[in-house]
Amino acid sequence: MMARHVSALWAGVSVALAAAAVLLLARYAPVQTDLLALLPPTERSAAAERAVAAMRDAAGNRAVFLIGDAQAPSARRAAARFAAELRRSGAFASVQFEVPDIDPQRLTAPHREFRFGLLTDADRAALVDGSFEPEQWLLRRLNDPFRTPLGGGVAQDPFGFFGNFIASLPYRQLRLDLEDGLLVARADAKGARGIHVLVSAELAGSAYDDRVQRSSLAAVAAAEAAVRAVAPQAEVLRAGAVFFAEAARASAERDVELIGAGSLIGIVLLMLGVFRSVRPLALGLLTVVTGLAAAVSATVLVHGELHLLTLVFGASLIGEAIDYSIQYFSAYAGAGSQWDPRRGLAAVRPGLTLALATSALGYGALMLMPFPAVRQIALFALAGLVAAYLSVILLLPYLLRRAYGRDIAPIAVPTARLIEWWSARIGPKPAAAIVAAVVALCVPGWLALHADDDVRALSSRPAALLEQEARIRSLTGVELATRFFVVEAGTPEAVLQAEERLAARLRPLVDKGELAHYQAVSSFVPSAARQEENRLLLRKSLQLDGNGLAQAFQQVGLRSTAAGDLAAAYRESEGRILTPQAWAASPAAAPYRHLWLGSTADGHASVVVPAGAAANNALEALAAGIPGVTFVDKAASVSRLFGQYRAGLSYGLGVALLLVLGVLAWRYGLRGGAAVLLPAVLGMAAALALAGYGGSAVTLFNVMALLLVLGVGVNYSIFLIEGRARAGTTGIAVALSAATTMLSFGLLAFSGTPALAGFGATLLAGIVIAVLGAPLSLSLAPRSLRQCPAASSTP
Amino acid sequence: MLGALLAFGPHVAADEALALIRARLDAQPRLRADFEQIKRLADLERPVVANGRLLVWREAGVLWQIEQPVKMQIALREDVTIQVDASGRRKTQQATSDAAAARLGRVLAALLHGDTAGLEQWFEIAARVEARGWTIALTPRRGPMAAFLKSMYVSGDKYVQAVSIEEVNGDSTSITFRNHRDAAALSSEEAGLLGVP
Repeated sequence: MMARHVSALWAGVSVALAAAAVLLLARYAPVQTDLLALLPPTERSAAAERAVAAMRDAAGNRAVFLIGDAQAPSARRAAARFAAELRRSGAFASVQFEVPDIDPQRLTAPHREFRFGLLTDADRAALVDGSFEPEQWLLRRLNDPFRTPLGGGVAQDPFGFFGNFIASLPYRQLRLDLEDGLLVARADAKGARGIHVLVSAELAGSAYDDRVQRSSLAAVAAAEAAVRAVAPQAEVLRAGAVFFAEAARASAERDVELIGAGSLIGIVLLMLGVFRSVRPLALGLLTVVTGLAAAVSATVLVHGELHLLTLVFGASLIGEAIDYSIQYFSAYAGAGSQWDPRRGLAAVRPGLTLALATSALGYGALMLMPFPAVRQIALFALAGLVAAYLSVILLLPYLLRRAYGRDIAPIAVPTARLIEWWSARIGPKPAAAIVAAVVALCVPGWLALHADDDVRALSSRPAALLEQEARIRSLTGVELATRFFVVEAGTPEAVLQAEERLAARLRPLVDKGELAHYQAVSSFVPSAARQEENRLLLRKSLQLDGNGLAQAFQQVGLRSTAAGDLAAAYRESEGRILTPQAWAASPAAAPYRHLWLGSTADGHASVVVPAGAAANNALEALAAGIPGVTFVDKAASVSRLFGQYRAGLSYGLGVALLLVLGVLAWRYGLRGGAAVLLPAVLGMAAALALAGYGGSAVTLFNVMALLLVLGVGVNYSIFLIEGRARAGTTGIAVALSAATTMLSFGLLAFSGTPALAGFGATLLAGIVIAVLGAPLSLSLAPRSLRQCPAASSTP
Repeated sequence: MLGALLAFGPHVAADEALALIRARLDAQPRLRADFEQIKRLADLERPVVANGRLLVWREAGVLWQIEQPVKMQIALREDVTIQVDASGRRKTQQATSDAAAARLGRVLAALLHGDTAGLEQWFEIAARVEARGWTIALTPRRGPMAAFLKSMYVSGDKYVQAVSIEEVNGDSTSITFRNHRDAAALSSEEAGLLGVP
């Protein structure tokens, strides 16, 4: 018999899938915790995407600590202990604590031999507009008691041009000081004795690798304990992607455990309570396990990994996957001693197939979204439901042959009476009145709705970690670049020239105070064209060719050879141009090296980081009109993307409604189809209204939940209509299905991830209304559908 | 035991001496003085001498006005440093964006106030108080300032009388003050530069 082979084959496939899923999860542990990895590319150019990734990597593989104490010696001692403990643990690739004394000469070394091409904007302006008077400048330079010899002695840098250039470099934005060989930050530059000592560590792997997370966090905890032993008052501040990633993973793991355990326990209790037999429970769980195994295997095979969000969602899928077997068991229990597996299957199959079809439409719509996170969840659900469905119709008839030994009548008969009473009393008119009342109750809620597309909904970022990160930023002056300009051009020189055009537009914003400052490679390395220009300006203004300089030097008493030496040094440096590559390779470039992205597929690229409160559209406007310059704000792009998807999915929801209505109309006629669809629509309407009443914003994830309310909620009406010949057991099955779904998705509402919690809450509300409203479809459907096809003698 | 004594003994003494010095200087929180500054640089055939006036206004900061051989004013305030050249051109630098190596001015301003509390972070401080006068010697701790600054000496009585700065490369600056007097009022320009309302 054909069916037998197919069943045997499916049994084999199921075992293989289960083995594959266990193997994939245990051996490769491909669980992804990086939330942004789930998002599609948001930027227009590939270089911008690469820039985003490069900036994230630069920040992502480090952990930064500040160890602070009100007493400086105590802070130093604590930091030394902390660093020693981190090193001893071996959890980090490297730990940086002591810093070799930096000779300011070394800081200026990459620039020194190019100094005749390097000028600040103010000095350039003075040279251009002629306000530069050599003797006056020389005297000011000589008599300024507060000048530090950054640019070299008077003979090398008589007018202070090079010193001014060095002083203008963005190093000064760092509020870290080198003190006694340690990098130290002070909350208060003056007075206070308390200090924070910087310790930084390089991770032994990716911040999103859970093994790296575990070992790093354990090492940090041990080091913190050690610090408390030597300096009980000391505080340890931390920042780094690894801490957020670990918090997100821990939160998601708690979710998976809570939802998984909660729905399993709930299902076990409900199944045992209703069927009072172990066999339906065991077989029901078998279909769930095959479903989950297929879901895991399919997702890992297609996506190469399993995201934490998918796992959390997957845990809640248990409640939906068991619905098919519940329908089957209701037929089984209803048949009592008359059980014939083949006839039983024939009775439930149309309803199950239709239910799978509507769910598949819902998830299928999600699969079409260009959004890896959503596609992965949809694939997971689709594979899981199809496998659970196949297990029910292919395996259960063979595994459930012996007749039901107990009597379901004690609960089936009252349920049947309730449904009969409803069908008899609540006709189309009262039903329409109920619908109108529900809609009227919903209206104020709808009016209070507002949308929110903030990307932060995707992650749970603990307030304590955020606060520590903010304090580290304000103490050290190290900015976290979340928005920046990407500058792309064919050659490094063209990149620098584009940067200079951008910088000329950024400077007025800095002067107006809308920006605190900006970081750009061109601040360190002017374009070759500008360096040439500067050299010519200097040559002209200093009269290097004549003896004007010698005269000025003589006036102030500078040694007689100085002018000649300077002119010789100028001539000697002819043709020397500082290149961004050479700068990036120098040790002094370390804090800003990430700004230079280097060669890309289309040429060369760099990043310019503005710091300050200027509005995004103001910055975007600055980039406009300069070829190759793009403004990037990843968080804003993602939020915009969320907004687009939310709008798109809302239309998709409309289309899905029509499709489902079409499928239902094909089987029940237009009026019947509409009646079957109505409870699900009411559920969606009520879920939206509840969000409005509760003051929570509508996000992309709420709309996704509505799509599932449609796909799952319509099942209950289908089961009721299809199973009207055995109204009692069908009613019980529908209630049981709804209970398991509500349990699993309802638990999702308690997720620590805001997006999932919103998703769960909407689903819970929608499903509750859909199942409570399911009898309305009995009332509103045409007479032919309301009456039983054959007078039911069985309950 | 001996180590502890060596470590703490001079430190405590310095703290006490500094408190005494501070108390003496506190008597004149607002004062004017004339100064003469002599710089001896390796690159110069002869020393450069500058004359000018000093204005200390405790709550606001220090104004350094050079008259000869070039006119320039430098206002050292808590939050900002302002330089004004002979033609009135201003250059402003926020204190928060000070390069670590450019703090010399702030150190000097603090010393002129007798405010040594903030200096310990950068210097080893030794202080001696005698019946008539006092001296403070500052040696930079390891760090960017130590790369160019060898030592700094300040001496005085009820006023700061002299400052000398020795640089690592052999250059030196010595400043002497005289004609100290109470600063009764500020001109509008001075008030503007010091940010006094």
